[in-house]
Amino acid sequence: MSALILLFGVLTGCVTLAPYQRATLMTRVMQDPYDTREAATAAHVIEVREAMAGASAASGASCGCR
Amino acid sequence: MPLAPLLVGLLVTGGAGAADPPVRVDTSSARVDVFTDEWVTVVAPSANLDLTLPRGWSVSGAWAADVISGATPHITTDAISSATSFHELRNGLSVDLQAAPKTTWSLHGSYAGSIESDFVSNTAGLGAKVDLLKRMASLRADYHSRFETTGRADDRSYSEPASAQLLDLSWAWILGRGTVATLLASGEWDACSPALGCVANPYRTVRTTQGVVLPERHPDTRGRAAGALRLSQALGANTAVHGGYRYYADSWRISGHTADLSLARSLFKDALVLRANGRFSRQGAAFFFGPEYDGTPAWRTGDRDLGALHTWKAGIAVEGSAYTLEGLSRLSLAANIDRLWLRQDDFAGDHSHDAWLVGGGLSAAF
Repeated sequence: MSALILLFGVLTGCVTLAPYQRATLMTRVMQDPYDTREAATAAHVIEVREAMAGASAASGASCGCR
Repeated sequence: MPLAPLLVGLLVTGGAGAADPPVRVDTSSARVDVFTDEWVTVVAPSANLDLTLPRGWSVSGAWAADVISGATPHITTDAISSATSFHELRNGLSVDLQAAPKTTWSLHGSYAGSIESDFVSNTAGLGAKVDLLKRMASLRADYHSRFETTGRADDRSYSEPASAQLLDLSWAWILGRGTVATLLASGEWDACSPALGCVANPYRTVRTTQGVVLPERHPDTRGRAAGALRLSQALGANTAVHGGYRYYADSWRISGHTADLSLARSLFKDALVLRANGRFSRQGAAFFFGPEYDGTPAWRTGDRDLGALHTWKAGIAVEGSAYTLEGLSRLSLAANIDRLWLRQDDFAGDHSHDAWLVGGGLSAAF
């Protein structure tokens, strides 16, 4: 755990980008498919058929799907 | 006023026409997804609207429905114990109100509700998001409290309550000009009716080796936790790869792993974006799961999804966008098709849960 925190600190402290240096991050291909409404639909469908849930795109009210 | 024409009108016009409007449409979208396997077909239309309000406020609203139809070849261990065909309609609404007094932090409150003939769910939430480290990192925390009531379509007096408390945390940080990593963690505690248990189905029964038919009965509490790591990496100006890994565990002794990978390619200056994606998951069984039961166990389930299983999903998606339309910053048309394979360890020969997931939609940004 200490090593993980130290690694995290090093990684976050090494790089600082100005707004004009973030153009690549703003492109359509850099949008994580996990973070879209399509992903939320797929996550809802899959979580009904698995027992696992969480740390995913699914959110909102649940359903009586069982 | 009918909802569909209103949403389409807002989708295309964005409420344009008012000088310096106090309310501005940011994005609007509508889509339809269809899921189908040997047992059920679900048609799921949905629509979303994001508005910017004065003084740093914004609101998002969404509607989604599930139109479910199906026929079940199995009689005992199935969603409906004795029905051969069924139809169901679920409607859900959600609203999220956000306040952003500063550009570096925001608060939000949300409500989501869904209703069907034998189930009602209400979820309220609060959350906060803050940008840190010269806006190289973003921390988000969300807390939700959910209340559900499970009923029976054939018995209006039947009503079993359940509640859940959920906490979601995420930490996203920019590691370089084309690299973003995200850590996610979630925890959930469910407290359910002792007469039914958590996520138990009141229609489902199990048959013991002695030939006795018993109603399904799950434990009335459940603790769940999951942690995930996601990474997005640009490969040049027009290509990116995204991947993630999640570990899950709960108090029913179900644990599992999920991994996903996708590749995105932009063509014609973002006018066309192609994506290919894959997902694999593997889970163990709940401690009370069994393909058959001997005697009268305290906990018993006919839900095969609580058993050991693994799933694969593979698919492609395409999105076409136009950027030079009057009043719109972007208008996009998207479509996706995915194939899902599900294999349960105790029913290896059953391929009836292999499914297609097809979807498409229109979205506009103003």
